[in-house]
Amino acid sequence: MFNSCGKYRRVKLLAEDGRASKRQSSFLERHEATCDQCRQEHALTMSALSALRASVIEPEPDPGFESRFIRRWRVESRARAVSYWMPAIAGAIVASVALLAVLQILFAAPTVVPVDTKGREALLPRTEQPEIPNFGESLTGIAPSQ
Amino acid sequence: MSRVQTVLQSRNEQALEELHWVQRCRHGDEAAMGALISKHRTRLVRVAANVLRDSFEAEDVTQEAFLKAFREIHKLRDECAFSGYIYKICIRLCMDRLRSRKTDSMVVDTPEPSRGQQIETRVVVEDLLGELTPELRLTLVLREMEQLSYEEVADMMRVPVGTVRSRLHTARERFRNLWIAATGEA
Repeated sequence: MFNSCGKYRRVKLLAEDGRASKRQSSFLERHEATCDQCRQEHALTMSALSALRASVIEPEPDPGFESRFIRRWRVESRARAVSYWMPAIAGAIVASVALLAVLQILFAAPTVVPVDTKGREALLPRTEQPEIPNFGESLTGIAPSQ
Repeated sequence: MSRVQTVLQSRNEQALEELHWVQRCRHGDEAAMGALISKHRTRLVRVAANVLRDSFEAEDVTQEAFLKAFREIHKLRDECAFSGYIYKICIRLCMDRLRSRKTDSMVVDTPEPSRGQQIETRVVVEDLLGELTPELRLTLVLREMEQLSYEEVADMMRVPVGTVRSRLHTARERFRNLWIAATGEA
């Protein structure tokens, strides 16, 4: 009987998969007719599976599904577009700030206080300026040495 | 014979129409998206509801599935395969939800207590399905509730047919044992 029950379980697996031959199916029937334990096991499996099949949910179609989806799609598309262009936008902002800074430096140059090219002496008060002797007059009439 | 031809012709027309919609969706046509949604959403919401046992979450998952499908529609090589493509996305999203639920508390769609025995059975089944691992649960639901073939289940879950067979066997056995323990049948 044990061997027969083992064979029953093996063949039962094939039957569940729909792979049992006619001969195997008739073996299952014959075994169930004689073995109480296997018959009960089979009945319990069938009862559990039929309860499972009976509890299928059939949801009511929601009329607002499509419109909700389209709204969600638009929001997502916008967000995707923003995130796609964000690096370019950030780069453009940085570049324009840099460009503005360069332009500012270039075109603001003439307004900077000009540097006195005469040096420190030009900044000294007039009185303090050292007198530069003029040799031009005293040297007139002096013949160059031979 | 003529009836068969008519059915085949109408199927071809539907397939062509769907192909046309898919092509338009690639260019972001919202009307085409709407057409594809109204064609497939009932089936998707149903399978998601049966896997997740929660109608609200099922709707949310279905919307997510459509979003993902349209976002990545350029990846769809065979334009005629939209049905399988969207179905697979939905199943995978359901699987992700089930896995993330493992850590959270179980969410069960509580039915109105008015249809007696049937409702009781449904609540028991929902509790028992919650006891199974996400893989076993999904296999059992796709095969027993959605009546998909082994090959279809394998394709949806990206596993070999042999794995589906063994998972299904384990799932049936566990479900039966849980059923016996819950209902006291023996």
